[in-house]
Amino acid sequence: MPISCSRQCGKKAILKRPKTGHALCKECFFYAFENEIHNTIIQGKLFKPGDKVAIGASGGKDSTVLAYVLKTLNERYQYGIDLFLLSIDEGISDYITLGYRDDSLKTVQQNKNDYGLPLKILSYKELYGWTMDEIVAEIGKKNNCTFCGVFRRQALDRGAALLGVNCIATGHNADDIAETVLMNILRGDIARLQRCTSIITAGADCIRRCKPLKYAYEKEIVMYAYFKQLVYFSTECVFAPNAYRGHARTYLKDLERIRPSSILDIIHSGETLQVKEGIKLPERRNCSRCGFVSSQEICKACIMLEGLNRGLPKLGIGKSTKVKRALESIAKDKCNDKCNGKCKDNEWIEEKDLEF
Amino acid sequence: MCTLNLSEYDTFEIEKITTTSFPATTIEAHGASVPFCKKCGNQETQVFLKNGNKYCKRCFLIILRHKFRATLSKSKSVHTNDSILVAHSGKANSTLLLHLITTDTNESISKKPQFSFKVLYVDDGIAKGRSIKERESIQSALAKEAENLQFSTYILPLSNCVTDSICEEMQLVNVPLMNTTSENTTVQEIFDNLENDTAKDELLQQLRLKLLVSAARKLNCNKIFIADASVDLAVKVLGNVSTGRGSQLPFNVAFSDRRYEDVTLLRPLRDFTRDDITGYLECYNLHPIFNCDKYNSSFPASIRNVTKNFVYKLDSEFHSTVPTIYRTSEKLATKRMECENNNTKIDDNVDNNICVLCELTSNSSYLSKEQPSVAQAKLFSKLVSTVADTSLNMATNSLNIHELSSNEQIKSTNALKKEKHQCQSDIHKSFLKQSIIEKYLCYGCRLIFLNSKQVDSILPNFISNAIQKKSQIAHLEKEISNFLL
Repeated sequence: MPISCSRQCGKKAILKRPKTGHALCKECFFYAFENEIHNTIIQGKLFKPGDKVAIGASGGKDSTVLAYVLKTLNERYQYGIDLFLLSIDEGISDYITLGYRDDSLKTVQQNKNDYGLPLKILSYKELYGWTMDEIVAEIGKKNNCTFCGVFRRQALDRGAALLGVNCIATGHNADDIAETVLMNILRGDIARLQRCTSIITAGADCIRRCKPLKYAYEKEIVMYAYFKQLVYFSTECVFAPNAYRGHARTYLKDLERIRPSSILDIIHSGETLQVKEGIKLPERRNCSRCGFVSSQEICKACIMLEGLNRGLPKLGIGKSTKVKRALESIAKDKCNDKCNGKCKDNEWIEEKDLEF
Repeated sequence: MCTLNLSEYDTFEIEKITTTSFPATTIEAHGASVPFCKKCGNQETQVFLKNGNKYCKRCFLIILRHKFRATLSKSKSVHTNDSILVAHSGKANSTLLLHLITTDTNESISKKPQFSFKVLYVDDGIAKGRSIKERESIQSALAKEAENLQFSTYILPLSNCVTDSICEEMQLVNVPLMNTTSENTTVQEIFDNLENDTAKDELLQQLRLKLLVSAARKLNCNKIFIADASVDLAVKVLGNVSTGRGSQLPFNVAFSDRRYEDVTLLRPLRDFTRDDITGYLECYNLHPIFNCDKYNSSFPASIRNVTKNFVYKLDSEFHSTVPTIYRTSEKLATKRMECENNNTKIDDNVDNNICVLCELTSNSSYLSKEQPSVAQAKLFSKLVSTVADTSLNMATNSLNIHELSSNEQIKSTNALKKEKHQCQSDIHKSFLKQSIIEKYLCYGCRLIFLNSKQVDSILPNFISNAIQKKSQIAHLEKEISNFLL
């Protein structure tokens, strides 16, 4: 016997919601999915009328669905926001098949055409002078996600500054956030644990970021894309399999299979947790070199970039004390090379080097 | 290592340990590279830890004993006249803990004042589907162990949690098992009606804790020792987070848990690694009653079990992960809503916000209504996928939907309350609808009973009684609210 839609619309249900287990028909699923996001936006006060909002578009399912839903909701409920697509070209090409990023960027291009949203593509090459392929050639298959992640985070900020937007909307879904909560516990990163569940991250002088898909399940996003026939790029990053995140992801999938609400439960845990009073947290400041948000004097992106440029690709992956030491030794070596022992007269050179 | 207040311990220790004879079978043969103990440097190494350290048996045991005492003395939470109940599960950890306590009390006769120790085993065989024969053999094993260690060991069947007066008389372990069939079937029904392994496992954990605490009260113990080692704590941290109990973490994994006024839960093995435990058991040739081969883990499809496998796997691959996890938990606290103006109001409500099952603050009250939260997102999801005629013009302002949903909830709650007062004579059997139960349980405990077949029949008596009492008091408060200053 066919199951009927649990919203009693009279139609037959064609799917079971991964999030709640309710059986719904196609229209009611669209209704429910879109309204949930709308509710998140309104409740969280994510946008203000007149905002210029950049959607971080990777060509993957999350950002494709995000772009589509935001455009739809903006028209339906008149948020009065100005939407953009902002894409980062990491410069990753597979050795065997065609380019990974080339394909995904093609998808973004198509999104641009389909939804009529302006698109801006920024490449790592333009921003940092290195493509991911070049970085991987230096560093090897391990730890390269660290580079990509650090660079991408800042690349979005840089791109947004370039476009003059008020807000960046990213496609982080509930699964991503739950995974991040777990990751931060596994790594002991209490500062991030505290802030990773917040729906808006903003500071005094940095661009606001928000996650409209925070409560949307990854599976439902795929479902939505499938039933709406949205085109997205579905291949994993070719460098991804070595990432530590994989462990947490497998665990999360196991949990979801046992109890579908686990994902939200984990986010709930994250929302209700707080770092104990009296525990020192890194303060947020701006990088003295590039001016973007950083927890250190010099931001991770600048340190990594410096390491790459100096032929020390591991710099920035290990401990920060090592970074300091390495920088000092570099400065000394350089100094010695340059002035052949006449260093004492020219100590200002060393200082300048340290500042990069 | 810690040197706080420890000088008094170190008098007889070394002498005593050297006289202890070690069974030769436990000696591991490998490790040809440097056969010297890291600490004393001259004896052959017999214990190999994962972090690369090698010790001779004597030093290894000294280190462990020191760890145990350091944990206790550092916290300064155990005092001379305390009487302590040790929760014994029959597994490796608690077997080690018992042995550690026995050797400790035997050795430090001269200086260290004695605590009085009692041991309790909660017999959860019914919930885990063990046969009576199995349970009897477990009990006789426990009795034997108790005889060796000379502790007064008590046994408490899980079915006691459904009787109204929990444990009228504590039963010693060497008294043969009494079968109170009616209660057994009630417990079995409760567990059978729960939807999945996770719910069963979670409920069992909570009930065990309840029984433990009530037994401690009965036996006049003001401290309870729980034998959670570091790996167990790591499992607990992730398990708690995964079941929506993140805000309760500070209680559930802390060294001392003071959620109850009169009884403190302590976890003195929190710095013991898995290696430490297996090493210790091997050195003394101890055999826990439950070893992995004989009794496979119950509730295989529970979140706790999945988490356990995950943590064990991580532990074997990256051995700094477990310490990282449980140290992270030390830095966490429950989020409290900042209440500027209405301090008093919050204080009044504190009692109402205690979950009737786990007796921790249910956190719904700490989240502000303005901010989007999971609780609201869940509610909204349910609403949009069930309610038929929230017509589109309603949907244009979804805040309306939200208010509507909460209004509906309040209405139904009120209606139910009325119904309840009408049939007050029959109040025990009166059906408690989900929403009311939800009101008195915390987020994590709610998940246990959600989706179960019959909510009212699965609630253990004490829960429904507590809910009844609370809702009555809330009702009374409402009636006199105009006259309260």
